[in-house]
Amino acid sequence: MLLQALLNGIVLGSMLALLAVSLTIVFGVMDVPNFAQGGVITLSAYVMLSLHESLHSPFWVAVLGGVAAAGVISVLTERFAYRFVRHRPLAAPAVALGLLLVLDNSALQIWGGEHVSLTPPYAAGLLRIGPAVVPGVGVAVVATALASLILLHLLLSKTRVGRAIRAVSQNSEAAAIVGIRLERQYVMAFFISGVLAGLAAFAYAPTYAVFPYMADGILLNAFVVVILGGLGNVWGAVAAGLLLGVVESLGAVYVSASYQTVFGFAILLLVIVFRPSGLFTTSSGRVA
Amino acid sequence: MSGAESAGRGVEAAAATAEADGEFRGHGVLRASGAYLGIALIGAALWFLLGHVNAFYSNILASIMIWTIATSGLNLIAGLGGYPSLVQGAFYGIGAYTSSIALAHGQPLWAATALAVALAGAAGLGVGIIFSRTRGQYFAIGTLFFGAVVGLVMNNWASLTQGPIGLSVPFAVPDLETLNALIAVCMVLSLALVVFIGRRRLGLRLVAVREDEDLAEHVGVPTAWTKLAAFVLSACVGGLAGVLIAQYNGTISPELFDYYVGFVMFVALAVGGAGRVLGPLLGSTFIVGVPHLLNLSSGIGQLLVGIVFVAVMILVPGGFMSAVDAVLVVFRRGGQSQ
Repeated sequence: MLLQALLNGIVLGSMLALLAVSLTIVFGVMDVPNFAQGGVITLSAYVMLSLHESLHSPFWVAVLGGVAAAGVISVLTERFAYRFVRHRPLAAPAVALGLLLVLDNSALQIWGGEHVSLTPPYAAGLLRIGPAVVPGVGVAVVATALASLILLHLLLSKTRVGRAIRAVSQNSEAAAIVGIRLERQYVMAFFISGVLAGLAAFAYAPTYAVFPYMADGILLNAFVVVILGGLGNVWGAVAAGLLLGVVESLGAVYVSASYQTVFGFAILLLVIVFRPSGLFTTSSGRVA
Repeated sequence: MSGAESAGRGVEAAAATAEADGEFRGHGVLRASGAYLGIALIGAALWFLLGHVNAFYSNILASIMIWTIATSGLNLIAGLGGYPSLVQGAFYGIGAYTSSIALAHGQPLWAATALAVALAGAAGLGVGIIFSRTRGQYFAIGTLFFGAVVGLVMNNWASLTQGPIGLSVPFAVPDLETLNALIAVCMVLSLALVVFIGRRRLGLRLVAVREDEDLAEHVGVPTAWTKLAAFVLSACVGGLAGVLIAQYNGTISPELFDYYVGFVMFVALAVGGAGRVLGPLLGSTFIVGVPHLLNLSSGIGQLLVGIVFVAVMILVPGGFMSAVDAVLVVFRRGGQSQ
């Protein structure tokens, strides 16, 4: 039972890590968290569903389409909304709420509100580790998170684009002085965030369901992971995500399933009392 | 020791006075006792409307007025103090549930209300202490999550709250007219509270915290106490609003008070004008009124609401009161003829 809870926790934690990283990437761009990310995830999942079931594309083509759509939608939210409230922490939550309403209700209008399922070809598979079982979709979550994070790390550390994003996140004025085009980096950051959100949608939808408010619950936990790991800190978000996933899973199994969120809050409590700026924050607030 | 203390207080007083001169240009729309009179007139006008429009509109108006109370409380910590509290919905809910459960146990309304306000204030004290070392985005997300936990408790502690099916509220006010008057009076009081606090030392200290907390600390402002006091007051006012909504609705359920509501209350304050006395009123009118006006069908209506939110905040990022300021500046300039 412990092993099963731990494995469940790793699956949940990987999901949270992936979501948290998608949120923390744009932290350097905006003063407030991207509360509209749920809408991006929802639309991405619906695009995958439509491509796969209505247009009969192969599953992986549909996933690619959904991920690309997520990137584009994320950039659109930046260009048409967030751009105007970048340094206005009072106005930004209102804009985020408006975006969320637009995105979620677009999905509601186009596809309706019933819960539908996105079933990947490996959904029936099971991975057995000793007495414990991880469903195929759970393995997919961990694999997706792992692959995405490795790719992201390579992008941020080895490419010009990645270095530019990190530079802007550290000190946007200095980055501008050395010739980095800020607007382009902001758009890039939102695109990457969107792509990660799309990958998160692909990983999450088969474990739950596709409907307009599908991501709201898990995103709340993802926001907490972002601050646990330290805003802007990618690897901090990963570690904190796994920690939160495992703690909540253990709490749900051994204490009470319906109060799962309380265990997350307990961790949050401990961290903000003893290390208010996050578990892994470095003083310069780097992205990676 | 006493010399340094009095020097510190002198600096603080000087800073506060300088702050005061600068601050009241913001309150330019309402000055001194004119502010109280204006608020009272608005309250009287809205109370009159409440009693004389048909039930559909009076329901919306009552919701707006109760939301004004809750967001006016929020204005203390988030508007004056600059701390983005997303948890006001939870205090709203604690007030509603506490008063309803107390009434169901036979308590008179005044006792149930006192208990509700006290419990909400205690919760505010707890949250304020827990998050006393966090700021900005951290504070926002942390309070949002706390609101989610409170909602979770409301949903799952079924033996106390009846859980998701909702709780029936014993009607404790003689009639609807009295309840309307009560709502109007509380709205006036909550707005007046912001005027009152804004001009006193607590309000000035809060603004100092908002403008530059570290500097305020250095000139001797006791920022920790200030923030805590504002948080407790905010929570108490939120609890009072909860008592009223419970009485007005007749039944309450956890989804009226979940973390989403806390988020929207903050948005309402920002849309109206955070830190401004009338901000909560304008913001609540917009946030509660627009969805009802654009109620074509859930999907398209809400979509339009979203577009309107985004457009409004992009056009007036400082909130409606900043637009009012801009208009008044034009009038004042026009008044000084060349």
